Amino acid sequence: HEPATTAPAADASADPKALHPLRTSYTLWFSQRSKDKTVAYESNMKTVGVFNTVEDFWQVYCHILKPGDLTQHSDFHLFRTGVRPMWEDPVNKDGGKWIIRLQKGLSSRMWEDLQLAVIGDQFDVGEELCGIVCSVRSHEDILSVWNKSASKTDVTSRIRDTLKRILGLSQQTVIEYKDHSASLRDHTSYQNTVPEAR
Amino acid sequence: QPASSSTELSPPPAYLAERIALFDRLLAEYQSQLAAKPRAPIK
Repeated sequence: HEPATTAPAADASADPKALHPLRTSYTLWFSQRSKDKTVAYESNMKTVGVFNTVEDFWQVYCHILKPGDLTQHSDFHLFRTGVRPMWEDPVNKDGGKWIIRLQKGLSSRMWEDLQLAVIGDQFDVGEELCGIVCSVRSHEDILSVWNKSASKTDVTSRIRDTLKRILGLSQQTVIEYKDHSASLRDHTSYQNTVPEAR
Repeated sequence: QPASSSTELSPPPAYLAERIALFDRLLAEYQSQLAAKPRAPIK
């Protein structure tokens, strides 16, 4: 149902040197918890790269550490360029996120699959998809998928189903959702979540 | 709505497999470019 005119040139493969544009530009951010708790969340956030083509993405991806290589409390954030990875951003404020908790050892592979699905447009929910986060914690790693409208259950259901397919989770796997408005109230990202029954 | 129902298209649209193949090919090309680059010690 997407208009064909916004798609990359169909014969991009005709010129072997032509770059392969993404439908949407994405920015990768990285943050690590500061020892000083007074430092604002946003100032710990560093931009790693901005991707407009598949080639841009691989060029950065091949040179950075993977979540499984990190031991400190860290987060990768891949968001549409222009959307800050924060609950308060105007694009995120009415949104929420799906949360998948992973036992240690799975995150590198799953984060790769999730990133490729996002930049390759597999979710097919247009501008509803805001970004994804991989959170490295001491006893688990957490993937989350942020969308713009927490109240649109057709959108959140589609994202949930695509997410399960991409990560190879069974349809029976229960995953959790949390509205950003609830996160703003309780100041936690991954507590007080709602198991899927949407 | 039962939890097992899927909102996704079935069968999946053909572009998914095409894009995955394209991403894989571009990664392999970049990796072979990297491998072909000269190695110089850092002083």
